[in-house]
Amino acid sequence: MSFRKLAVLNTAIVLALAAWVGPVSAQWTAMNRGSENIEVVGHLPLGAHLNVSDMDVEQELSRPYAYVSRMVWGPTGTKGMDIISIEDPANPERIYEYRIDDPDLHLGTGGMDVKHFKIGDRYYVVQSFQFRQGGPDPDLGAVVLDVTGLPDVSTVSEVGQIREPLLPGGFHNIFVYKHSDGRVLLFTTVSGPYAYIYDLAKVVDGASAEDALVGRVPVGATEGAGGGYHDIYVAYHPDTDQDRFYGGGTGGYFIYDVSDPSDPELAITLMGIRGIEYGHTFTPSPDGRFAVAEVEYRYAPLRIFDLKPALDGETTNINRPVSGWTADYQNLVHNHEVRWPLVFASSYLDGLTIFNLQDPSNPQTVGYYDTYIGKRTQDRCPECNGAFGVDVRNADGLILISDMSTGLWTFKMEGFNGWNGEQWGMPDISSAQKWDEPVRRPISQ
Amino acid sequence: MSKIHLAKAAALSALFALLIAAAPVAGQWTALDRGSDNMEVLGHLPLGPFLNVSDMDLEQEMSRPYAYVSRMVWADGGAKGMDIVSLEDPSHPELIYEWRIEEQDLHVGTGGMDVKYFKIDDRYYVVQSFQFGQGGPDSDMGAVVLDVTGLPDPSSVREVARIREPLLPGGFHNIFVYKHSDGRVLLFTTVSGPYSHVYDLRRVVEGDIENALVGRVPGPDSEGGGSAYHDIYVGYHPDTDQDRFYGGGTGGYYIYDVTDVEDPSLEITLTGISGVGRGHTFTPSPDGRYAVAEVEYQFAPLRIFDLQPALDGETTNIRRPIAGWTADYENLVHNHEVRWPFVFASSYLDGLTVFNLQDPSNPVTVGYYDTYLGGPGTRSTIVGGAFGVDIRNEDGLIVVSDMNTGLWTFRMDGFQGWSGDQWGVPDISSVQKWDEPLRRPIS
Repeated sequence: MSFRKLAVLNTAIVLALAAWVGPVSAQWTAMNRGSENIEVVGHLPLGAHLNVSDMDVEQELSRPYAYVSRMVWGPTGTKGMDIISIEDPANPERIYEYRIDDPDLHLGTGGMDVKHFKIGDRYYVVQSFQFRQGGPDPDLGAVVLDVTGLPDVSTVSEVGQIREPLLPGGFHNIFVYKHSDGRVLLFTTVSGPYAYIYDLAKVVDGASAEDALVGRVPVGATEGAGGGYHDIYVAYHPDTDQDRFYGGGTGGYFIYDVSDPSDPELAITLMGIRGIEYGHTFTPSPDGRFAVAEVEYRYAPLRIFDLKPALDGETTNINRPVSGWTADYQNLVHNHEVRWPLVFASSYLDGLTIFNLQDPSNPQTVGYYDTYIGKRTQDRCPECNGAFGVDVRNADGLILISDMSTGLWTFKMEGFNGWNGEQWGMPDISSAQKWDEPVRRPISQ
Repeated sequence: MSKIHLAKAAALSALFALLIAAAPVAGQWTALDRGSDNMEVLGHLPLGPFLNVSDMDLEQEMSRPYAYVSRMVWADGGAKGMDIVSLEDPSHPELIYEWRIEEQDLHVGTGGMDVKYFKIDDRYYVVQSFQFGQGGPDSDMGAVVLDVTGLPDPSSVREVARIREPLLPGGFHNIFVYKHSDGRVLLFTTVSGPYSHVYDLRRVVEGDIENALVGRVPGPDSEGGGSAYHDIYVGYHPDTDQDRFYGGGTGGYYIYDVTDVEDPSLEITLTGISGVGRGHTFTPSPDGRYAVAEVEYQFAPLRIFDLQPALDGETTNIRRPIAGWTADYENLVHNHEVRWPFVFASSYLDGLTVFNLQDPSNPVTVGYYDTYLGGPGTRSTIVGGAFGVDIRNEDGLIVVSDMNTGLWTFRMDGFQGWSGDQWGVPDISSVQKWDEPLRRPIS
């Protein structure tokens, strides 16, 4: 072997090694932003810096639409929601923009969280808003649009608004859940010590918020105590035949039996956890045994909890995680979607990150792509920039990211061609709701 | 050497350098390669059972090569007291004296926690803190003071005092000895109450225990009655000509002016920090501008704070760190010693770790050695391994006390001692200058 060939070979080894070793933060560069198993399918910039928040993707392949919330976190931008066609995921196309009237008069961030739902044969999207007092609409929590006629954007129509005049400040996060009683329910955070539950059939039929409100989930053990929720997830729990609410908020995380939404019953608490005073996103595994828990400050990893001692009745409170995971401990992992054993995370400054929980005590990073390579935001929240929201289309494994500064991204990951819990020996339960199927009672393994 | 050999050597060197530089501490060490190339293990002295060692202190004079190692029982068995280890030959640390609490089996609680030596006039002493629970003897005992002037002759070691606080049972978790600008040698202690206590050690060693308590630094909730502080550092602050107390405890971190120890004055708070419900160790840079702050739970990094806005009077509270550093985010960094710009940390399961704060916003790992290869004990998922660390400024000797593996001595390439003047900062660290006239270093 010649000197030159040897040098080239060794250089190649060095470069390969450099790409392979180290944590997520040490791996990507501006010229090599992702792991080799992640393919960027498409990218659609959406405008101003720090002007995108959460997102949702419809699950039916025949309805290739993503909904992207538009908040103003930086100095400028729009407040509302974009509808993106991903009929060709390689070329996402913005086909509709919902904007709040008189945006300059509206104080606060604007569009925060968004979810689609289906009732009967009609499809809807509910966009949450947060506006402050001093301008219009501080009582507006959400707007509901009928999007059945997409891709014909002329058919999009506003069918309802949810307002809570006694709890101004809007809804920070929302979750739409098809309850085991057949109703489609909207769970929302509010500026008060509850999560609110609305019957969306009533909302789209024109009922007032007061008439559509069917339940309130307290924070913690004491109804009427202070604080509130930051984020919400709701899922059927096969082992107990319960609809279960998973909320992160003041004091930690709380699991309620909401089989009867008008009478929620506290089942499990996760309080007294070191480093957690205010929980954020909180998502269980499909069988409800494990949970991924976020707290919203720099340096905090996602924590993985084993709920079994509480599920077995040995305790009602869990305060010690079995593991933690982060993309880069200097930053912060934001939202996540559990498709067990994979967890897809929108990791702010670290972009899309994916880890595997097959061994819940030892999470393993299995993929990443940095959607934002700019600098930290210096003035407000240094870690709050980049990938904000994430969603996964179960039918084909399409991965989507909404990035605060770079817009919408679509990805595929090698070997991930879709998700169904049964493929993994789990109940087929995720954030994706099954609008048209009869209420199932999957059995956990 | 042929061209091919040269190429192989160059490429292998590049590979090796890349491996060292690219990965985090946790990804670097293996059981067969436990440290960075710049870290030399000089000596190692195992000290007994699993989880039976806590904090340590190192005398600073080369003529007195003694390390003091606290013995606590964190798990099932072991000694409760303190060991004196001779480092006359740092490659062969030698256990020369064992102080043990009498009737050890009757004593409930961990036992020896923190230890500091001090000098008054021509005599050398060591103060060993203790924590014993109620239900056994000595729950009111906070510390034992030994005269160690006659070392290395262990027969000359004698106990001269015990500090007790009957109204605050539970002992002293951490202690700090500070030579105050008024000339007194003061012992600052945590107590099981909403204060830090300040004792005049001259009065202690002269037997005037009743009048030794000369001050109390309030906690954030002095009326609440809970235990206020977890750890303490005291340093002279040149810019204000103040003796300053740095305490971590309930709610965060607190800086008091203790120039008049009878009347401490709160200067700066660091509260409302996300992820910090109760501060732990809190150490300023020599000039008092920056601070390294620990909080004691898994996943928590050390946080670096810039105190300048508070020092400038723009605010009295700082709540946002400018940086964070950890050896492995899945574990926990425990105690640390600042020798600016270096910070030497006893990082529990990650052993000795060293990082550089020359750019305080971007801490950089510069050395490590894993002193413990096992897992944590059954009591905690993170507590085990390197507990305490100290540095001998004179020659740069690094010493670690490991809960499971005992005492270790190290040298780091290029670190042959420390004086603040070498780095353009006041010559201030945890090391006290017993014999020098009171200095007023300029920051």
